[in-house]
Amino acid sequence: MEWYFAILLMFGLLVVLMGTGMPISFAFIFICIIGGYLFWGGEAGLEQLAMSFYSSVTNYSLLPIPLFILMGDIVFASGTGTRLIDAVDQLLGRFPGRLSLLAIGSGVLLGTMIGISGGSIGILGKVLVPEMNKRGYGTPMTLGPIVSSGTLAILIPPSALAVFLGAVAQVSIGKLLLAIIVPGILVAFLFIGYIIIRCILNPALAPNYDIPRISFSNKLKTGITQIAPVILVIFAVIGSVFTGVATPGESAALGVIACYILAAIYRRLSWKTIKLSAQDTIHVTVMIFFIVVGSISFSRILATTGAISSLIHWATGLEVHPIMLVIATQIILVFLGAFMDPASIVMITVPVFFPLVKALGYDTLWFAVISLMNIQLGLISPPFGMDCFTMKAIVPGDVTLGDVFRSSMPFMFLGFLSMIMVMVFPQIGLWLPDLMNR
Amino acid sequence: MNILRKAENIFDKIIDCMLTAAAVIVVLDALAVSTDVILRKLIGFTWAPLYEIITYSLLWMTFLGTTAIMRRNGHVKMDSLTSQLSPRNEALLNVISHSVCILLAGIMLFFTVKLTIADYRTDFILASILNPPKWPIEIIIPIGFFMLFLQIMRNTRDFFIRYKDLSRGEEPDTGKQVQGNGVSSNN
Repeated sequence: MEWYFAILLMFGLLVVLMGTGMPISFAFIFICIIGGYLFWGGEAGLEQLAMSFYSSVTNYSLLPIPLFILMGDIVFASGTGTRLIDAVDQLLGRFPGRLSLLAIGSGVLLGTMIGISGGSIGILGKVLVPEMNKRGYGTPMTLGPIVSSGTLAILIPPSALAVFLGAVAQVSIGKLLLAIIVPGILVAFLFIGYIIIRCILNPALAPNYDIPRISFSNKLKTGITQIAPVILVIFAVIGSVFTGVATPGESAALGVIACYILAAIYRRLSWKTIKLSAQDTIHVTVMIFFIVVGSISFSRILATTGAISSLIHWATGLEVHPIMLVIATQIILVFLGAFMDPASIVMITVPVFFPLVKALGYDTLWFAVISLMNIQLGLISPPFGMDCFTMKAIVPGDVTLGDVFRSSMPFMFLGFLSMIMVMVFPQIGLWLPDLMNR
Repeated sequence: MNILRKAENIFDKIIDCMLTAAAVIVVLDALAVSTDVILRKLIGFTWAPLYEIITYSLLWMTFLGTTAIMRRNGHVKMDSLTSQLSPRNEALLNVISHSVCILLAGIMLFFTVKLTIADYRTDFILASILNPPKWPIEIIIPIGFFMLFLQIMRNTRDFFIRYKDLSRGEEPDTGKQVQGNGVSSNN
């Protein structure tokens, strides 16, 4: 079978099956059964497939995924997130678009404890939207900052998607977690800059209001009692990897313990919290791992057909600058991001894109960072951005999905801008992992 | 009819127990790994087999939890196209796609059972620190597929009832509906 026909058959069938509403994990299993039978030698191929299910998830590098998700679930179930928003609120002075900035600031802080996107949107939406409405904030400054702050959870460690991408693409997970920190902070600063400028140009979007005066000593007390304990979590997750004390899996476990301790400090730790958070974690983890079960075998079958090596041979022979091929991969990610969830995008594209980028001579760590930045934007891009759906479910009924998408648009463009900056200046992402190597 | 309902209740209880076991595993993993790191840094002690056990736990976690996710129709799906269809046609498409899933789960059940029995008969030992026999570790895969097989049949039945109700022009009985999560994923 010609390589392009094999690719067309496998990907075409996959897209058709997904389009029918079949669970994505089963769409992968369907292709694996057909592919295993055709390319791995009939019934023996199906036995091989059964073996491959075993090896796909008995992989230690996947451990941070459930543990990062568990960290976020502890934060939700214990109510620690709401407490943190209150603390940031007290510390924030009088700025144009104060509550919108509060959304971004809290999003960054929650991002240091939450490993998945969408999670912080739930907390921020419930706490801040009623307050923003009461203060007369316009829709662009209400919905946009909250939705976009959710994407920061993917770009600030712990990030379950970064671990997932690193594990599938065989990129160092520790380095990837460090490499996304500066781009994540860059995105947050661009968001903050945009909010301040837009609110100065159009004050009606975020009317000023009187905030109660809080003495410096009270602010200091809030900082020490409410914000400082978060440093414990940040050190457990990021510091332990950076200093070489722990591997990403171990840092995730330390992060979980730090979150339990944090909840205990805030007197919010109970059996109910532990049980609820663990059960919620299993729901998301199993959803991801079951896709892994099908898709790892999919990648192996694809590799067996010789399609990937032939594709790389063909692509590297094209008379175009290699960066054009990298840009093409990103355009495909933008397109897929509009229709599919991040885990599926990773599983479909990584087996093709990463070997190609490696063959072109680019750093796969850099490519992983820009891909991650791109994929997270799919969560707020129309027509099927998942985070926008989450936001719509939280806000009052008179807000349409169109309002949510329109509000997220400027933030999406800023996200693209930061992605282009990392493409042009790779050191934005690679600087911190390089520092670790010294 | 009563027997079927009782059997379904027992089945649901088994799924709940499996979910709880998976949840316990994730918490134990976190506690065990963090304890190991702390002990390693404090007194230089590490228990090497722990990391092997953790990798097996990931497999068990996945297959213990997967039926519970299927019960709430929570496996990631791309329903952006199917949601454009009429409710009746959407239900029909769900019946068809889930029927295919029954077949897939059946095929995988057959081959994973075959593999587990073969490993049991040949006393296949994993080359690792603990050198455990493979079958007690991998047995969760056929168990998971078996439970999944039954659960997808239940989901398909519910979709079919919904389709029939909609075909008759009746509002579907919400008690019989499969719990959908609307749009695809949470990650």
